[in-house]
Amino acid sequence: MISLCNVTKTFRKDFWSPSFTALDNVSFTIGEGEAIGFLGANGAGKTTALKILFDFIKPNSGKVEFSGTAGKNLSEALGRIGYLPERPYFYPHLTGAEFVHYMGELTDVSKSDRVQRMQYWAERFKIDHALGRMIRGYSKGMLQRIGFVSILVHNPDILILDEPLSGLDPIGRKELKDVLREIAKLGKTVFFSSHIVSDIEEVCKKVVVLEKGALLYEGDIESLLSEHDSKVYELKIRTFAEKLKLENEVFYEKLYDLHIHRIDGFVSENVARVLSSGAEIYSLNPLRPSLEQIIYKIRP
Amino acid sequence: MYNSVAKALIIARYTFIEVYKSKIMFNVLILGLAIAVLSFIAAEFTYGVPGRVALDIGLGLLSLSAVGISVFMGATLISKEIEQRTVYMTLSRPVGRVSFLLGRVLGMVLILLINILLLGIIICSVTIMFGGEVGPLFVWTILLSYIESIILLFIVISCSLVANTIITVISSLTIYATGHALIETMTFTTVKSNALLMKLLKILEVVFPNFSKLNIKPYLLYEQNLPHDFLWNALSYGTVYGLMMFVVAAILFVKKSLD
Repeated sequence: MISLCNVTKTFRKDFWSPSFTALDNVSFTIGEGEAIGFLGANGAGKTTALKILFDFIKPNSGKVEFSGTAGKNLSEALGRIGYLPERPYFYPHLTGAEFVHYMGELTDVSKSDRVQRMQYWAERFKIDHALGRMIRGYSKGMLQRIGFVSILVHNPDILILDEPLSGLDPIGRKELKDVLREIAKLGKTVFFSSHIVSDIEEVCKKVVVLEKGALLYEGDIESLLSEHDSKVYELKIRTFAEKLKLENEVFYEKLYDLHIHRIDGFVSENVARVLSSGAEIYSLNPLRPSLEQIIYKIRP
Repeated sequence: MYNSVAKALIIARYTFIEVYKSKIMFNVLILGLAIAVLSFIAAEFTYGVPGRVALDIGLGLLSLSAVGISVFMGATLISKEIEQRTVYMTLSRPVGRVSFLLGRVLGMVLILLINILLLGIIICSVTIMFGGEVGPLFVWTILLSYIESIILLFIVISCSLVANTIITVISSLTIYATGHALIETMTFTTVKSNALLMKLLKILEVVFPNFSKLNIKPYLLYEQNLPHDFLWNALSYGTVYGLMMFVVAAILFVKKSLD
């Protein structure tokens, strides 16, 4: 639907300093109806990629292609996209409601729809109490919340969010992730950048990973997890007896009355041995690495 | 085309609301008071022409106010949007860059209009109160001052798209002063006798705005009369130069990398 094709972007601080590459031949696709996380450390090139997508800056080479729901080109796509930049700062002397109306009017939303949607989303994001107040009195979290209301007022099919969870308190983060999951379930496209792996893991099914301006991975989170699955199981046994001897054991630790064994591969004899010894199986889980651990592992 | 203008008008409306709420209009109240007080003080020290003195002070403060708004508000009108990333919110909607610029500029032009109109009414009232006369040339003076401030606004915006705020303010004020002094400089004997200098000034005359063409205050104060051709010529010059400067600002903004 929206594809960045072989995009390269270099920056030069001033005329005399050497240029540095912010994006190096990066290609990825934002597919229709997908919830995609855009992952990378600070300075990995995420915001630069988004600025190129919206034509705020030009790439040195490469292009952005639009198709399907997004329309044929950027100008067609803009009416269907809701974009929230990183750390947004809105007109301080407008009220929250005025700003939302402004954004809605620019996308040709009728007044009744604007009022109805603003009320709905403002209540969802718990900012309805401050709609009549000037934005200059808003906290960082409130700015983020009114930003969300303003990008949802035209009921976009595609949401593109740059570090949307920064500046929100833990409750706000949870609420927003719930809303993003809800929007994704409606079949809308959600593409959001973050440097926090767990946030992406909670909301998205796919991930695009950037590392120092280069594409590290693009695909399903589940595939990435199973690809790097260690096949190690963690067996926790509750017994006051001595340590049991188990097959293929790779790690052992005693924690109070819990004996923690890590076993390479699922060995059914081990379970039988534990049960016959009279010990109680407290838990048996596959020990899968987190997305964060895998990202660290696949970095060059 | 219709859609682009409609979007520009929406942006202009909200720009006006935003700037209006920033209490810029207090400027009118303060300057209005200053005009009345200064005119009263000056009238005490002059004999026979207190109305003309009131008019002179009033028009001087009106120019100062219009130039101040154009330079100091114009310098951050677009650059602040880029710095604070508000521009990303607007340009990620179906709004072209030219529409955005036009909208922001129209909002400021409306603020300038209200500022000049209110001050014009205050000057008119104070002048009449001090026994002065206000004729059609007064309206022309106000109109041309307005055109001058719009041209300056476009120059400031163009500068702000290629330089930082301090350089923008300094260079805009330099252009403003040059625009007023250029024609006067060409009448100096030393300049007249130097062909090379004269040629250079002729080139500068084309490039820089000729603000002295739009400044008809001396005629209003001392002659109260000017041929219509001159006035229409000044108005046409101001309009064409203003449009040209808007095109320059639009080209710079379209080409600008918003990072």
